[in-house]
Amino acid sequence: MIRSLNEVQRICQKAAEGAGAPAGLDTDAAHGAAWLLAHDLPSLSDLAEDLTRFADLAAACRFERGGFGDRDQVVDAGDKAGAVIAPMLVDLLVARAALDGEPGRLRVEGLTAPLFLLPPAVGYGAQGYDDRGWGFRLSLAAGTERRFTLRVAAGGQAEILGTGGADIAALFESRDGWSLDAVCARAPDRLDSRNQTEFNLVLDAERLAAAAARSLADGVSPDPESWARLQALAAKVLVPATEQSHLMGAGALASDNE
Amino acid sequence: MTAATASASASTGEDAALELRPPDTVMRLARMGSFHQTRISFMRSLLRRIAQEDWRLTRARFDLDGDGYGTAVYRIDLPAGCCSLVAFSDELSPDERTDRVIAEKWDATFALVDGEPSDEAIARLRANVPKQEAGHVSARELVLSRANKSVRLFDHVVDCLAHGWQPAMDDIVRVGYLMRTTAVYGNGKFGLSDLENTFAGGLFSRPFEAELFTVYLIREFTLDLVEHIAAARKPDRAVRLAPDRRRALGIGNSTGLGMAPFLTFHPALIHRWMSARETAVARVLALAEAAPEKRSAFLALLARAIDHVREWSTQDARQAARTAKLQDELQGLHADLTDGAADLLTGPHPWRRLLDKVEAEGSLELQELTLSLMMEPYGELVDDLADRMTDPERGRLDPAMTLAALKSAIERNYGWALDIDFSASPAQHFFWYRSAEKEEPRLGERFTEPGAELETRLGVARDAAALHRVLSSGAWQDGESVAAFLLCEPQWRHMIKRFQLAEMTPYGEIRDNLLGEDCLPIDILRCKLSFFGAIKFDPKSDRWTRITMYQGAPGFDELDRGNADSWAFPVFTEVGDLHP
Repeated sequence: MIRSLNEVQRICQKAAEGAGAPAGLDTDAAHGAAWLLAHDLPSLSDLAEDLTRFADLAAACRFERGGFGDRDQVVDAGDKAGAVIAPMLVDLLVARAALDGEPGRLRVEGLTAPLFLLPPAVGYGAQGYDDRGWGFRLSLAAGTERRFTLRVAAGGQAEILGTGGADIAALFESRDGWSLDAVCARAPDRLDSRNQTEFNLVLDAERLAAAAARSLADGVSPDPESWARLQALAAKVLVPATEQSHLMGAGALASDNE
Repeated sequence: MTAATASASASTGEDAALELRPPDTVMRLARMGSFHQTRISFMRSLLRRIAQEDWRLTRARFDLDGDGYGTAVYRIDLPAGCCSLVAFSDELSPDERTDRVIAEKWDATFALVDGEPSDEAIARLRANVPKQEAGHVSARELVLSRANKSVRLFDHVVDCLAHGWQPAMDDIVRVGYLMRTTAVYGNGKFGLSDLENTFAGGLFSRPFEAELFTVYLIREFTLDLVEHIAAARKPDRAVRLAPDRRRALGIGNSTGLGMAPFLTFHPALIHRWMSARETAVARVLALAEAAPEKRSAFLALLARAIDHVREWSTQDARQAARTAKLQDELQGLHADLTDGAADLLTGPHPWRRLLDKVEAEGSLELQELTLSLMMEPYGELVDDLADRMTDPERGRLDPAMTLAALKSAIERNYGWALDIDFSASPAQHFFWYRSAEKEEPRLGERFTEPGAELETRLGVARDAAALHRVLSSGAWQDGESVAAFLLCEPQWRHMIKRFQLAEMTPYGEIRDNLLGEDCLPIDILRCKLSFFGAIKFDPKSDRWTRITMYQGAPGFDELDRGNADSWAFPVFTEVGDLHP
């Protein structure tokens, strides 16, 4: 069935909330899922998976305290819900750049659903919290074979690069986790691109923008299985109607045939 | 940031020097629950736009049987393109007619469609639109709605017209509408066009503009419908509704708690609405003098408002008492301004002095109505603000903000919340939730009803106080970043975004505790509906109200630049049925 992007975002938000995601991360995860789907990057399966595979989702979205001011610290995301925590990692990257005046750097191990990094990075790229755009280079590796770079220019244009044999489908496959080496800066020349010569363009900004425009105008087609999983989670936020609440809603106790 | 500078930061050019009423004064529930429509309310600005751009309406299809059942299509041509209202009128038995959210059938259902629909599209809509929430539409459709007849008036009007006479004005005014809508959906609901797509289409650009245009067209349909049925019933005798009767018939609406969370969930947008309204007020208050024609226009409107309030009927004891007091106050004010204090409007800074007077002597209803009236003669001064009421942006986090700065921001903008004792049960008496009944927002009593663990995020005051306690506990260092804090305490993400946004949007927050025992949701509904341009609020409890929309407004065929703003505070002369 064709869905509007707002429908996608709403069902994802409620699903994340129903699954126990922290307030605010649920809305950002939903925005991320809708953004990716709008750009022809399937996201609902990864989100549904991250929302259901943890006994305690809230714990899987929280890090132990300490060391986040240390630029050399490696963040272990191995037991975290990657689709949900992605915005927090991008936040930390931006904060490091903003506080230090140097390019922000971040290393993460065991990250799942890495494409969810893209929507918050594009958000900061298009118009950061201070109305000035940031640029990002998000280098991903799973083993030696699968390597990708998500690039976001100040202004918000995104593109995806991969090594010679890497198919974009690989970005949706690894549940073992990815290594992330991320850089964030204002100026493009501060986003150094060492070892990037072997990468090819997998999805360019133009194709991504065209997909987004098409999705906005025509709607999107979520895969039915993921949609059903998300709907089941979303139902958990609803409170069964009581007679008392029913009697106090709009239209109650009024004649409908007057 | 002080309230004045914060407000001014949302303004541009000369407005930066204006002194706006502070958020601590404006954003209180009691005052918001006293708002009236203004020149920049959405229905008002929409009708101005229709007149200015000379939109054209064509009844492209009217396939209704003698009882008024069938399909109608109205095509509207705008400078930027065209859209169509597709209406389905169906037979409904009295036991199926309900305004409640549980309804599954309605007297009429509607879709506003981009362009003109093909026969194939109409067939698709026929299969889905009458089902409303249970159906599914496409991104070609901008708005989905439904309405039920006000049976008694509807039948009476048909009967009168069929017999060749006009229905009595007092019968019309007592109800005010032939149909009342029970929902008007937009922004991607049930497959509809996303708001961003609707705006990108170029036909609509203001908040709820497509939705309220749909309601205006529904009004046209209801008027055509009664005339059609009457003509079918008595072809030789039937007459059309007289223009004054047509104008007196608006569209009713039952509005419940579904509207209340909207104001809390969209702080940036609400800031835009409020700051536009307050800027309009401030522009008028800043005038050094009032020209004679402006004074005359104001006094004429004040006199009309007295009659308008007299015709404002409600069975609700609280509103009835307020309305009665307002009527007395308006009469007293009119007497003052035309007699004892006649020099008030001729002296310097007349509108400022007038506001000072009503603030000192009058109720909140009077104060807010006076502000609405003061704006009316100054269209050239305030109407442009209707274009400053859209905010498509989502809240962005400032991850580098230090916790010390965050704490200061909370103290600056939420000081009103920090004084509330949330350990006392009255402060957390209510919880807001989404009901399993079509996900309708509801309000429960925390200590007697189940479901509080699933409450929605309207406890802004409580959360501001709680986060302030965390930040004051010494557990975190002042210099640590919000980003680092949130990695360990992600449950605060939603509220921290909100508290950061409040630095730039001081009118974005209702400065009262929405969980408190004394919270009256009807105040929130009244505020939002006043921005729509609704009149004659008729609360049925403190949680839902009936209203009338477009009552007094010119119909599509007579709307022009000369009368587009003629219908503020409409008054209808009481006369009997007009027999030939």
